[in-house]
Amino acid sequence: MGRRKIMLLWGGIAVAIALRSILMGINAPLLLGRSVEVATPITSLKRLAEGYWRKQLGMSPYTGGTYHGSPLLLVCLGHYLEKSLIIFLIADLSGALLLHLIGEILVTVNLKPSDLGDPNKSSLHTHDPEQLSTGNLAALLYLLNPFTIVSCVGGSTSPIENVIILLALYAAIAGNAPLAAFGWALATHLSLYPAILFIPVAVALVGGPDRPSRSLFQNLATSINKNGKSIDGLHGRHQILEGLKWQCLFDLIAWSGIWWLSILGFCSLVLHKQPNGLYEMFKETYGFILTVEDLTPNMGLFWYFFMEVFDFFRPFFLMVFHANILCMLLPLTIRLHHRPLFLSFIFIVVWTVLKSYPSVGDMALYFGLMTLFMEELLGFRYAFLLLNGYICTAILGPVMYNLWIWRGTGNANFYFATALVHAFIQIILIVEGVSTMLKYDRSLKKLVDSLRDCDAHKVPHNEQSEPPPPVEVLTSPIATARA
Amino acid sequence: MQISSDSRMLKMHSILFWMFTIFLLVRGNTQNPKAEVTLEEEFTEDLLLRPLPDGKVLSHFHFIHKLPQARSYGGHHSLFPKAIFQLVKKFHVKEMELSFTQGRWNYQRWGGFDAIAAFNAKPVGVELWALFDVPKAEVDATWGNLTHALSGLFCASINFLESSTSVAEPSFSFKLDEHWIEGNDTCDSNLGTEKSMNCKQKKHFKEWQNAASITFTEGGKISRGTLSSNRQLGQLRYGALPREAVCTENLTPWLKLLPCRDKSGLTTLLDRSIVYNGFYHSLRLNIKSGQLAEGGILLRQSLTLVLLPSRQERNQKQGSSVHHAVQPQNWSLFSLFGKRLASGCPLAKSSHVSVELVGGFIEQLKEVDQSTIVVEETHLNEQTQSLERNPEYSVDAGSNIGVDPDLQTFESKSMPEVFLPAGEIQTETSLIESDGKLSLGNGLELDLRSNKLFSLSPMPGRILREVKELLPHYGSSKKSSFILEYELQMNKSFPFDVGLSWRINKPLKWSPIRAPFRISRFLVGSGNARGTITTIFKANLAQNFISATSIHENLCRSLQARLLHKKESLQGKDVEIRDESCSAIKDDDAVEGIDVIIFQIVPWYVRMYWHTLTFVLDGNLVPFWNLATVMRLVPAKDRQSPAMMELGIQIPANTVSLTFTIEFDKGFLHIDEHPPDANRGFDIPAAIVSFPGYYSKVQYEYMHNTTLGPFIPSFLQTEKKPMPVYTEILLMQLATPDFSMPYNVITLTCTVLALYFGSLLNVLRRRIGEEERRSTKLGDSTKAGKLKLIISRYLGKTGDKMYSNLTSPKVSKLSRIFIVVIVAVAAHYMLNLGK
Repeated sequence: MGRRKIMLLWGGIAVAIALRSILMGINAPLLLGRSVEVATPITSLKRLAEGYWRKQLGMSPYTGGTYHGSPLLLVCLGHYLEKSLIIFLIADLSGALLLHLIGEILVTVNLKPSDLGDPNKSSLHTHDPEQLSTGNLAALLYLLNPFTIVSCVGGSTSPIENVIILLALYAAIAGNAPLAAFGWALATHLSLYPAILFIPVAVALVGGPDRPSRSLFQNLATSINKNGKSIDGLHGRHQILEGLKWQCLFDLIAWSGIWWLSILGFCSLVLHKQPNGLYEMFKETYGFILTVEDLTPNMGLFWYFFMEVFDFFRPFFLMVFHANILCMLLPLTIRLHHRPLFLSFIFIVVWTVLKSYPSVGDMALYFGLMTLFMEELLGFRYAFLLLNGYICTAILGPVMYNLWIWRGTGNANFYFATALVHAFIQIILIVEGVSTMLKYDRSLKKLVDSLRDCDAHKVPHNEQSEPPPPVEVLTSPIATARA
Repeated sequence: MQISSDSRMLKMHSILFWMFTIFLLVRGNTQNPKAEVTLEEEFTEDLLLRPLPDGKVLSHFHFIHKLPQARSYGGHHSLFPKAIFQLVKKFHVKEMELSFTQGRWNYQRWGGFDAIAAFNAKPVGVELWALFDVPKAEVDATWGNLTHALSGLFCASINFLESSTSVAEPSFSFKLDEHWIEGNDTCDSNLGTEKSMNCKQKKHFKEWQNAASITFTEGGKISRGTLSSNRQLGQLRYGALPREAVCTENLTPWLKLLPCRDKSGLTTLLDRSIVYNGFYHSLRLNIKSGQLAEGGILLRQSLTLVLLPSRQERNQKQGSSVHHAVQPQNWSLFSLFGKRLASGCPLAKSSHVSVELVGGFIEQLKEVDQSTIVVEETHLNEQTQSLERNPEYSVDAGSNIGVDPDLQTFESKSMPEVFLPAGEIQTETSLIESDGKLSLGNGLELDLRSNKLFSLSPMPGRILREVKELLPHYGSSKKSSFILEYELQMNKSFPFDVGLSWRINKPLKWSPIRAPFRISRFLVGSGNARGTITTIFKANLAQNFISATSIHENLCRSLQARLLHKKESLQGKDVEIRDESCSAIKDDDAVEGIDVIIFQIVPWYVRMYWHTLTFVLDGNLVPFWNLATVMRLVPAKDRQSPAMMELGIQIPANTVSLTFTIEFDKGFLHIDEHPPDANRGFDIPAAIVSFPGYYSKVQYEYMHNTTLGPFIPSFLQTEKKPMPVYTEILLMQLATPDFSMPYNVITLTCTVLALYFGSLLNVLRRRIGEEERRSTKLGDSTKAGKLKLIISRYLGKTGDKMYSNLTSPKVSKLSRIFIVVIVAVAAHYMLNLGK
């Protein structure tokens, strides 16, 4: 490890901590804490304080429709509301650490064109000791991301949700089923949407972490076996070709059940004074998320839509909006099953777009994960448009909100227009991200094919030679397992 | 006064005895229901006129219907309005009060601590509360029906109160009867949780504990009371419509309930244009059932008006005076209402007109011109005297009255003109039975017939004087009020007019009886996102603040003196007990502060952060639990019920100001939830601040023996009630969406969603580079399977040569139509099945 790299790493961390401390020092939480982009009805610390106060008085924290978070957060954060910023700082740092660990695992497992000896595509930083590894870079960027900073000091509980989601993903990538189940169950408990992460977590546990599809490896392996020749980059990666670990799926399900039961047990312990504590909890957390009762403006699309839509259409559109998330799960899983982490990244972006109460915390999370795929997403189109779009909406959103709410010179349409653009940009990110990743896999496959062809027919780099049967590429993990 | 102390004591005792007997008599009359037992229906009408410090005149019309239950004529009555009878019977109304108010009662100028203000100062708009005698489960339904019935009866949108979003169930703060005030004697409480509480506090809030779930504190420790049963909890409903516009369509049905309507009697004075041009008017309807013997119904109707006497008469003597604001105003019935009374209601058992001269006014009269007041040795009220001698009871009369700029401009435009010669009225003095003298205490007397201050015409039939209460009548003036009473008799006194015209040209400054605190509530903060509700209590110090302890001392002293006298004369048993209670007051020093209950309803779209409750006491931030003694909080439910707070606090004595703040976030409403004029804002009902230690029962005694028989003006026949003070109504603006945008928003949002769905699916479906290969390859279609072939066949795809031969386009078209028809029929069937 080079000195420059260490300095870069620790310097970045120090800057990140310093920035947060300064913002805390100048009382940014007060300024940001109740801005709608940072604190949603579900994550707002002020509402948490209100819930805690009610709980202390022996009332149900959910009465009055103010608090919509988990009772566990009340217990954990209620006492330390003044010091909560330090808790969030620690959460951010551990989130960065988890990203770093994820990055380390990905580097050891993943297959890159450079590993296959493609002279055209040299790796960005694999063998350069002076450069930051993927994990380090992701961790640093996560810490220095303005969205992360804002959500950390802005008086919302999203840093804690994020770190738990990251924990679940890390554990899934590392093959630790109990921990993954714990992270998944807790994240789902805190905010409903991480429930869909069960798919990537399960896929990661069963099929291993992100890498090109299995068929590609099999092709590669056959070509290697044929020639008795090995490729440098494949050293130590034969464990990839081990069979699918179905046992892990059962472990995951069993552990999830156990964790869920214990979480519910803790919750009922916290709410023991209320007669229907758990029912009320589900109604006020999940029910609140699903029925979109609070029409407070946020970065999402739901609030204005349900403010304007005719009452008799409300259930229908609620169903449609939520179904939009679920509809895409299966197609995405089929296409990206070999890349569970990328799949979860896409899931997170999808839910950020279609969430009832999105906040910058969600954006911080998916940007953190996105940096892990720097190399794969190099072919990303519209990067410039996206960057500018994010900057524009980040600036215009608060401005339009200010004009509407505080100055009274704008109106709701201006703010909603910004929200629409924001959603549009995120949709481009999803679509382009998926398509870039698919293209990348395709290019890898081509590379392997060409390697094999080259070995078999001694025709180097002949793209037009007879292509391999393309059946296995698109089949589900079950099909590949059978093969 | 050169009287020896012995003879003076003797005299005092005899006076005390005399007074006490009268006191008992009067008290017995008011409190013993047997005295009021009548088998006949009864209707009485009363009008009270009271000159106010700012030159306006308060007119209070009070009508009482009594319906004994004894006989029933199949629901028919001779006088009692049938609509009300049916209402009470159908909805099992135990007690109900409805008020329509326009204008805001000025507590500082018009007084806020006397019986009239306590019952008739109401918040703007409609206020309705009702206590039902039905099982708790049916209360909501009954309430809903009652609101609909009332809205039909009074042509008002009271039915909006049916929806639970504006209705609350107060437990202890709203309707308080004397029961819990008097439950202070004992200190033993079986509630184990408040062991740390000392006896004093416990004593104060014993009844509250029984009333609601409570949080008590002592030394920063939070402990909780238990929820125990309360008689009224759950059966009382309170709702207010601050936005309701009150006009003649409400007055007319109200008048229709009276037997004489507005054809004869006092109501003939009510010219609509005058009533609705007043500064304040409040229609009130109070129903009590089961109050009279054998469970009859008592219906009170009252109309309170604050009017400015018409300009001509008002200013006949003050043409060019500089100090307009506090010049005494001349007034008469004619100048107020534009007409004289032509007749009393022939159906009424009695018709009375009374003029009230409040204590502060009398006191000021004395100060203005000492020479007009005749010294008289009799009628020394021990209590008044002792209060007067107290050095703490310093008098700075009227210094709180600010000069109203509006009033000034109003006055300067006035033109002097003699309108009503005084002599004309004075011819009608047949009613006089009193000697026309007001005893002012301290041996002073004011002769109504001939004084240099003012002329009153005609002379009153009877004069009543206020008897000071035993319980601290906080902040009251040291002088008793007087009521000059005129009885209207048929064929005798008409046309009747009563008026007061001034002979002096001096400014007259006096102040009404005020509450211990001047309370105002307002919103802090700009923008439509959040804000703070602030309530400020400012002590009415300058004029009549007495530290509560001194009141108790004085009361005890006077009580002891009385008891001493009683002991000598009657040798009563309860003397010792009374004595103890007095000493208990002293020992305990029970009044270390003033108890205040704040009752506040906030609609659900104002999201209150109750944990931000703060008190600022004289500029210092005080922990919430140091002042709060009891709290009941019913948080709001979105789109279902409002938040309700009942908070008891104890304000330390000698507090100058107390600020009480709560932060809130403004909610965002669906377009349908906004009213048509959304940008006007939303009204938040007035908070009620009540002072449980001080209540509104006032005792009067006769100044002189009369031949007219016992008479209590109907507006004084009221129950004890803690003094309520209504705060201002808040107008809160909420952020509005664009009301014209639904279609745009739906289409744009759906476009974005379609973009997401379509393009993502497109990306996922596409196989880069493989599709072309596959399409060029032969025999590929055989691989695709049978299903694809069938589908392609039905869709009429001609790309496949094998099958295009077999199926003609006609057949495929027909089959397509066939499928569509089947699908349509199936869908129709399914939809109908759902129904």
